[in-house]
Amino acid sequence: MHAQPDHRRSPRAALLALVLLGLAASARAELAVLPPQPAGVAWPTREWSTGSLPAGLDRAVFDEKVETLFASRGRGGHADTRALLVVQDGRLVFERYADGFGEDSRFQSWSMAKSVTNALVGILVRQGRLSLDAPAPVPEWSDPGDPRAAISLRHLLQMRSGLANSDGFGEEGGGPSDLFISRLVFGEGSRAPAAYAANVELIHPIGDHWAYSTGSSILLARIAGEAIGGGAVGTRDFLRRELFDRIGMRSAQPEFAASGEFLGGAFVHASARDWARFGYLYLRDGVWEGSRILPEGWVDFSRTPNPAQNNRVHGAHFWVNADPPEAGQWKPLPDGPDQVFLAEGAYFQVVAVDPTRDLVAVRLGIAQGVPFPEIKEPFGPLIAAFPERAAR
Amino acid sequence: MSRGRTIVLGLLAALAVGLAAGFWGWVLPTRRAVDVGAAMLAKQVCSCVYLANREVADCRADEFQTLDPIQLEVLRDEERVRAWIPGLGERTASFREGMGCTLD
Repeated sequence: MHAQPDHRRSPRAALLALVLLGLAASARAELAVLPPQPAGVAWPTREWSTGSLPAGLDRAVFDEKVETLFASRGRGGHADTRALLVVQDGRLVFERYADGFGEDSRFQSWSMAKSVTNALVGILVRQGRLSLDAPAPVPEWSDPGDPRAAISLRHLLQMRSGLANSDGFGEEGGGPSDLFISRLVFGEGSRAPAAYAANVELIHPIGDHWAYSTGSSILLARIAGEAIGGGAVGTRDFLRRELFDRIGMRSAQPEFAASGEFLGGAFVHASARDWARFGYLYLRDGVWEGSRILPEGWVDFSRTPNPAQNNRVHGAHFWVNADPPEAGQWKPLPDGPDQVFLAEGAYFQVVAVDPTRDLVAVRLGIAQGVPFPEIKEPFGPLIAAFPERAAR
Repeated sequence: MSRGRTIVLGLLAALAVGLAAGFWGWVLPTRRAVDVGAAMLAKQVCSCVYLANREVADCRADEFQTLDPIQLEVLRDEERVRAWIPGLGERTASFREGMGCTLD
């Protein structure tokens, strides 16, 4: 329980609190500047430069949170947290693995793949092959008068299409296997998931309502794949050439449905150091070694809370660590800095980007000894323990 | 109609209703649950074995306990993972070099 301030005690204090809250809210609307590559530090395309933990780190808090993350164990006694990395000022300053895992281990993205899909769509927008605000090219919606034809890539990226394909859809009265997400990814939709995600009704006006939707990512991945051409192999080659190879994610392996669609909702595997590289691309505003990979403004678009009124912590296939406005909502990283934006996946896979600290933090593993979402509790304070950096 | 015959017909009708209810209420949901569960196990273990190079037992331990009744076989020659419950459902996932695992 959070203590509530007693506003009856002092009307003046309450007024002051309101003014301060207003200031905080307006400050939140300003996105923190994305810091440039520090002078004299090599880009991590081949290797990560390494460094020591920074002066100004709250070492007691950091050590405690690290121990808490690695102490949690699941079935067979395996550690829940398998990899924990922190990059600050362009250098890998902390790296720890559980027994049996190391820098060559590949870890599954789960829903962090959605953020890879964000990058894939961004690259195609930069190349002029996709358009953010044009109707999404989805053949299932092409009949004259089909209202779904007005859904754009922006709506899908911000998960406010209004379609009845949110992950939890169908949970009334059913078991876990009846959820839309289960049917889409592992059930009857699994061989050609985009068609399964497309052939659903609109249940909200387009753009008004946010709902977490792996179906949106699946649709975007098929749209991207068709813009690229060449099926699964063509999409894999494009991802390598335009994204993974350029930023040194040499371990990255995307996976595909039998239809050849990229499974851009949950299935990319990569090493922890490579996941840190992915976050680092966003920390550096989509630019790598002086050349632009993501279009100008794309990272800001991705980390700006979507405009639907029922959710303020999801940007565009990235989470935003803003304070949620309503009861029943949540802050993605409780007690973490509010300028953090993050890719997050099931069982707490996370790549968190903090522009105010020039920092990327990665946690990979499962969540059995401590269930989701409690598993994430140490992570926000762990980031906050690092010193802020002045905007350069 | 004799009283005995009425009772037999009534029992048969009740049995038919019971079987139908069982089919819709238990067999179909069970088949879906097995289908989803087997697919999840086959896909996860395939990627865990072929992309993460981990032992099958460790891979299984990472998955939900509710998937434990599902039988599992890694067909090394075919680079394929099969998951099933006899009579209720089966899914397989296939590994291809450079492409990861795909649900068949």
